[in-house]
Amino acid sequence: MASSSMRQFRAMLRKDIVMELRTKEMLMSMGLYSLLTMVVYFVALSQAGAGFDPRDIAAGLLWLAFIFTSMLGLNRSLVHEKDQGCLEALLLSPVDRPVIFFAKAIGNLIFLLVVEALTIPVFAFLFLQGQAVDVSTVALIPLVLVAGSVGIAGVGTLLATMSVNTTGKDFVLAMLFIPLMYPLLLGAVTATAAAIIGGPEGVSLFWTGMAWVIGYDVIMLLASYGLYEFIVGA
Amino acid sequence: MVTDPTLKEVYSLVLTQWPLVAGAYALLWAGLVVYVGFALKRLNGLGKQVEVLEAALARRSGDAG
Amino acid sequence: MKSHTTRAFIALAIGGVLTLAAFLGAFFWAGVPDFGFVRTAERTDSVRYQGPFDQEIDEARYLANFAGYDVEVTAGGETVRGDLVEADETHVTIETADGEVTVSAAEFETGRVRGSSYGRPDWGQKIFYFHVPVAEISFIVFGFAAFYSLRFIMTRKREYDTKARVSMEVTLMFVMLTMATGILWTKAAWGVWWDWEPRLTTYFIMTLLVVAYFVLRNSVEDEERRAMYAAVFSILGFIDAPISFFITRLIPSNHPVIERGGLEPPMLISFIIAQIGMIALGYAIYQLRMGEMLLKDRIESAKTQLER
Repeated sequence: MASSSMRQFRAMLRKDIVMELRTKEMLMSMGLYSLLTMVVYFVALSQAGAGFDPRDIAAGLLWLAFIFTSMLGLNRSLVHEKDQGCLEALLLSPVDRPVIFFAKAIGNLIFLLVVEALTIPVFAFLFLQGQAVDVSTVALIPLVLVAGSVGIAGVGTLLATMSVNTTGKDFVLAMLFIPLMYPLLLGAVTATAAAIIGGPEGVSLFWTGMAWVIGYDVIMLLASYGLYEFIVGA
Repeated sequence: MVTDPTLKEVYSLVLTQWPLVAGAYALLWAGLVVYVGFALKRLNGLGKQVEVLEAALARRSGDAG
Repeated sequence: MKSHTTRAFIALAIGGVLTLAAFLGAFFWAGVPDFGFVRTAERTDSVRYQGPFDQEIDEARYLANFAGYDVEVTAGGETVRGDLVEADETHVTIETADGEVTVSAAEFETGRVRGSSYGRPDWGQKIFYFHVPVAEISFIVFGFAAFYSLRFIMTRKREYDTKARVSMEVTLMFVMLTMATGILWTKAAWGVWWDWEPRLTTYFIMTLLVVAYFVLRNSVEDEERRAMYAAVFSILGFIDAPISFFITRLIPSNHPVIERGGLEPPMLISFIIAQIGMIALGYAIYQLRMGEMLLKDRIESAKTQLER
């Protein structure tokens, strides 16, 4: 039973990745969207003046880009499933519901991590050039990226599965997603900002933020996992 | 009424709060009363509708029977 | 149905009487607590009298706000005592028994100010008797909504969906009232309409979750699906609300909390009566809306039977 679930899971994940490699639609749209966000940031910060230190708000700007990009990606990934009738076909086949949840969530997580990995160097290149950062603590940022993305992908997959069946797809997703994500975002921004600022206090604040993010992940992913069955079957 | 000048001074420093306190109470009561009022009005209307419809239903079942 | 309306009216009557009693208690029985203090030159008989104050001053300009007070200034080796006429960064003028004496600020050595200190009444605190109970009811009713949602998921009975939705409506009502009174209190006590302060932020997030619930409901057409989605979302929201409440501890809070044993009996009793009254009002609103839902069901079934 477990091995057959594993096989189903791998098949579904492979399907998502192969389709993405063929069309490159999700990665292209998410990547370009985050690039466009950078342009908006430049315009928004263009009047900030000389005394402005971009490191103070770098963490917030990064997570802002991630949250909006991830909403775009989540919406697209489930709209695809629905338009092509994939989800209905899956429900007719004898696949365990949790397997569908994990396959979709991990697919979304992978795409999100790829886009984040591409966005950060671009962001650093555009906004943080010539700024001194503490390399030893900045090296911790990938940890909070992964932990935060796990929460976004997990809860987001559940919410996007709901929102694709509503009349106001992307608006409904934003309305459900952002308030529910508030604890994760606050923890993730705190941890990222602490890592950029650095120092011993930075390290301790980083781990406090991380603890919150991981706690959120555990609780909300368990809830999403338990409730997905009812959403996908409704 | 406060007539003592010293106390007047004491109270004058804090009485700027009163319009906000009164506003909060007004909003609270207005909100509750308006909500309950509308709910009661709707309930009344629906009650009348039910009466009419169920009377019609009873009449029709009487005709049929 | 009849029973719902009857229950609603009974609860409404109880709630109305209790909240009115609490209102009277809050304004005519409970005292007004002190919020800092006010200093004046004269002494008067007042319940707010806290005692004399006697303060050392080391620069002339610090006397600027104490016109009319009893002051004692030492300048150039001489000490002058009397009522302060005026003071600024250049000079100090004092009215003594022998007429006005002016001392230049450069010669100023030390000074003393004497007057009376009075408690500063905090009228803004009066919001507490209703703001806090309303906020508590909003949490409780949100809990009921999540409970009925869970029951709906377990049993798939339509009545639980209706109950969850009506509970959520009551939550929305109370959340709005809490927000409105809270914002006014924030202006009274902190001087700003809004502050991104932990308690306010998390409550705002909760408001958004409740609004999102209705947005979700309104944008799903299929009835069973709507019920299931709404149920799942209200459970997720109810799990999320405490997390966002605690995580905000990352930011230090200004919001007042009741200290243990910090309330005098008149305040405590008025507060408890207000709480019970608000629970009754919440229950009354819930029953009113439930009665309305059942009447709507009856109308629907009568209509379909008539069309047949």
